[in-house]
Formats: sequence, structure tokens, C-alpha cells
Amino acid sequence: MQRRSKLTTTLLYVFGIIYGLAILGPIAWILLLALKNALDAFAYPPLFIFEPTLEHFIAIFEDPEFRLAFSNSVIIATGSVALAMLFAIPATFAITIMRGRARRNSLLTILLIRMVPGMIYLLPYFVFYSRIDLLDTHIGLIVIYLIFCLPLIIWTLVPVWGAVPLELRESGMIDGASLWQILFLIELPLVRIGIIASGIVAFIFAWNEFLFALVITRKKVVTLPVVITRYMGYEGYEWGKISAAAVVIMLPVVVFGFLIQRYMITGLTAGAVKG
Amino acid sequence: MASYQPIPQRAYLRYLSPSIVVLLLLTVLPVLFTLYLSTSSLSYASPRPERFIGLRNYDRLLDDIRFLQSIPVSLLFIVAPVALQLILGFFVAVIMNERLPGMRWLRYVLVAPMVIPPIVTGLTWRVLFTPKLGSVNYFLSLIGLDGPSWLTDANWALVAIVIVAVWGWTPFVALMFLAAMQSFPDELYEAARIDGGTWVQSIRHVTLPLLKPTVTFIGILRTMEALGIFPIIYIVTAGGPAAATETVNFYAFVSGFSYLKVGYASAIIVVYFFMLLLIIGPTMRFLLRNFQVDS
Repeated sequence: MQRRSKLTTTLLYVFGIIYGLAILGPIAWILLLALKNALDAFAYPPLFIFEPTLEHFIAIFEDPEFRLAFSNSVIIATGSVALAMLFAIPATFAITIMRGRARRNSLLTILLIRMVPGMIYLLPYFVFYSRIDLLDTHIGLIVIYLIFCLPLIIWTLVPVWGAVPLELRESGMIDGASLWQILFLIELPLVRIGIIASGIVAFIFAWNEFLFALVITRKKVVTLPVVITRYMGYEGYEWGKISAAAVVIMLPVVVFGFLIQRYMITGLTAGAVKG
Repeated sequence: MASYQPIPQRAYLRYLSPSIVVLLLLTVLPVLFTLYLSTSSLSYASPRPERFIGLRNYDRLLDDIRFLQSIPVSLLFIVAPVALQLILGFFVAVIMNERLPGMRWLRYVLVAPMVIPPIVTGLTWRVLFTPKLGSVNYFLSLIGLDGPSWLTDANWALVAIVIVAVWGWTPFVALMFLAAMQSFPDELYEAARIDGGTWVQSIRHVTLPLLKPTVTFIGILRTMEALGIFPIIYIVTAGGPAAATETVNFYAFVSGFSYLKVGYASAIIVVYFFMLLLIIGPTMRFLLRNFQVDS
């Protein structure tokens, strides 16, 4: 690397620190707000030192609707990952041996499907589900999430699985194993880190999803992102509850994100773009 | 030695085809259903049974000022955030690629906006822009600026949405650029150094040209996702004030789910779909030419 001038180095530090603070600031703000009582929340100028309170966290966990939403979110996100895995594992197993045009076209088709905005599918699913009574059901939402979770898992999994030598398959065949046996008994244990990482990526998607959850759920299966908007009710916004709920919703995904940050972008860097 | 036959690629088809079939069923059928709905009078607000009305929904779109207004808003929410994300993301990636001592934390910080639910991002900024609760105007006042009324002024509301989109998506762009930069061969930088180039010159004449295809690829990805912007608008401005921040997909949502005019909303979605195709066409051409998926 070239030697930087002192000035350049200083500028890089200054810019980097300012940018980092600009990212952290809003998150810190919502955290503080969640810990302030109603009076402190509206103090001007804003308080940075105050007596923290857990009243809002207690309030949301005493709210049966929030508790229901929490379990719904867990069920739907887990269910979406499980269903998508059923399809994604064999698909990735196949893609890793494909070469040339077949491999490229399958991967690009899958990528493209994931990139299409959900709005395109929202109305038809709503009308269709209302006719076959799938509105406000877990499975209804899980099936729709398959459209997004399946490509996410495949794209995250392909680079991990691609590192498994193909000779393993050949020697497995020589030993008389079937392809299914090779898949489940030999290769799956080798790529378990990739399975976990891609599962988490898909989990984060389903946990965060708002548009379909808002329209497809009513009462029984409302998820966390939907329930939080109900605190922006007619009697005014309950900012304490809103910020506490925001903290609760983002906590698990931020922890997951740190754990698998290495894998989160490999999915898209897997296909190198030629210069 | 037992005689050994390599596994034909065709044997793998039954492993891949369920995924492809399911994905196509789940996506193509809804699009066809939307086309059908867009020619119907279906409305949950009206007691009359649905009937075929041809292209009348589309005809009505042409006179709908609110719809016509939503197209430039959609374009603005693509061009402005994506351009800013690419520029800012480039600088952030350059900083991280320098591996400055004591700056490793930035990598972890960048993960947060990528995984935080968009609805929470929206709520957080909604708080920050709200005059009494929020801090944006407070911090502006510290440096002697009089902050605008972000969410009630049409122009500032547009700016507000752009700020949130840049906050939320620049980290992804930066990390993708960083991953690409780390794969650039050292020899090129070495050669630039021997030729007496400065650091800034090496960034301009080595890093930037090598990064160009990645910039295009990420720019395309971000453009498609920017076209789908929804939760942020829903929470931060709710499309207001007076529909000033309403994109095409947001207006389709309002027509379908607030006014319950399903047929009409479907016609909007069909137009929206064609906007998407305008992006997908060149995208596919670029990807087919430049994308190397063999490891």
C-alpha cells in the first residue's frame, strides 16, 4: 500500500469516526428513550443523564397482544427457515456440481426472484388467501416467505458448500452410496456452519418482514413488526412502549448479525464480477 | 479398481427442480392473477359483484393525478439514495480497507443497520425527526442551525426519507465494496508505488477502475430494492404530507388496502411491474455478460 500523508490519515480517521457515530447515534437514542419515563422523554434539551426505568419493558410484556406477537414471530420465522431448508439443501447440493451456463442461469434466476419487490405479489396473495381462508394463518405467511428465504439460503450456502471437494461424491459413489446418502451422511455434516449461517440470514428476513405480515395477518398471527405499529394508536403515540418494543425486536437480530457477519455478504460476493 | 462412472449432471436435476418449480409457481401465478384482477371491477368497498371491465382501470390511471405524482417520487427515491449510498459506501470501504489501527469496531457497527428491521429503522428516525422527542433539530441547533419541520413540509419530508434510506443501506454497499477491494491484487498497488504515485492517485487509478463492475452490480441490486421501499415510508411519513412522499407501490398499497379498490390497485401494480422490467432488462444483459459464478 502507498504511504499516506499525515493529513490523509487524519481525514480518514475523522470521517470514519463521524460515520460510525452517525450509525450508532440513532440506535443509542432509541435505547435511551426506552429507558426514560414519560417526563424525561420530552425534556428539552434532551437528557443524557437520567434515572433509568424498565416500566416500558414491563408494560409491553404484560400486554397479551405483544406476547402473542412475540411467539408468532418465533413460530413464523422458524417455520419459514425450516420449510425453505427442505428445498434449499438439495438445490444447493445440485448447484455445487453444475458448471458453466446451467449453474449461472440457475443462480441468476434465483437471485432475480429474491430481488423483485414484495409489492408485486401482495394483492394477488391477499385476494387468493381470502378466498381459500388462509388469511391470518401461520402457514399462509410461511409459504409466502419461501419466495424470499429460499433464494437467501441458496445464495449464502453455495460458497460454503462449494468448498467441499467433489471427489468426496465420486469416492462415495465408488463405495456404492446413493446420492441421497452422500448428501445427508457425508456432505451435510461438513457444511453445518453454512446451514446455520444461511438459516440465520433467512430467519432475520422473516423476523423483520413487514409488508406481507401487515396485510396477511389480522389478530391470531400478528407478528412483532405489525404489533409495534399498533402503539401508534388513535390516543396518540405511546413512545415509551414503541421504543421498548423496538429494542426487543432488534436485539435478537443484532446479536445474530454479529455472529454471522462474515457470512452475510459472502452470499453475494460468491459470484465474482469480472472486470 | 471398481469401474467408475462420473455422476451425470442430469442426475442432480431432481434435487434442483423442486426449488425452481416452487419458486416459479409462487411468483409467476400471482403475476398472472394480478393481470386478471387489473381488468376486473373488484372492490371490497362496493357491494356490487366483480365483473370484467377491460382496460377501464388503466384508462382511469391516466387521469389520476395522485398516481402520476407517485412516479417521479419513486424515481427520486431510487436515484438520490442509491447515488448517495454508492458514493458514501465507497469512502467507508476505502477507510476500512486501510485497516487503520483502532478502527476495527466500524466493521461491527456496520452490521447493525443491515439486520435491524426496517420498521424499527423507520420508527427510530420518526422519533428523531419529531420536534420535541427527536434530536435531529437539537443537534442542528448546537451548530447554530434552525432545523426545518421535517415531516410536515413536503420537500423536507422527501429529504427525510432519503436520509433514512442512506443511513439504512450504505453499510451493505460499503461491506460489498470492501469485499471486492480485498480481492484486488497487491502487485497493482506495488506498481503504482514504484511509479511514484501518491495514495490518493492509487485510489483513483487503481482502486476505482477495478471496482467499476462491482459498483454497477451493487447499483443494480440497490436500484431494484429501492423500487420496493415501503416500511420506511409507511412509518416515517405515511406517504404524507398530502401524498408528497407517496411512491407508486405505496399508492398501490393505499388503493388496495385503504380504499379497498383491488382491481384499480392491480392496474397500478401492473404498471409498477413494467417499471421493474425496465430495470431487469439491462440488469440481465449486464449479469449474463459479466457474472462469473464458477469458483
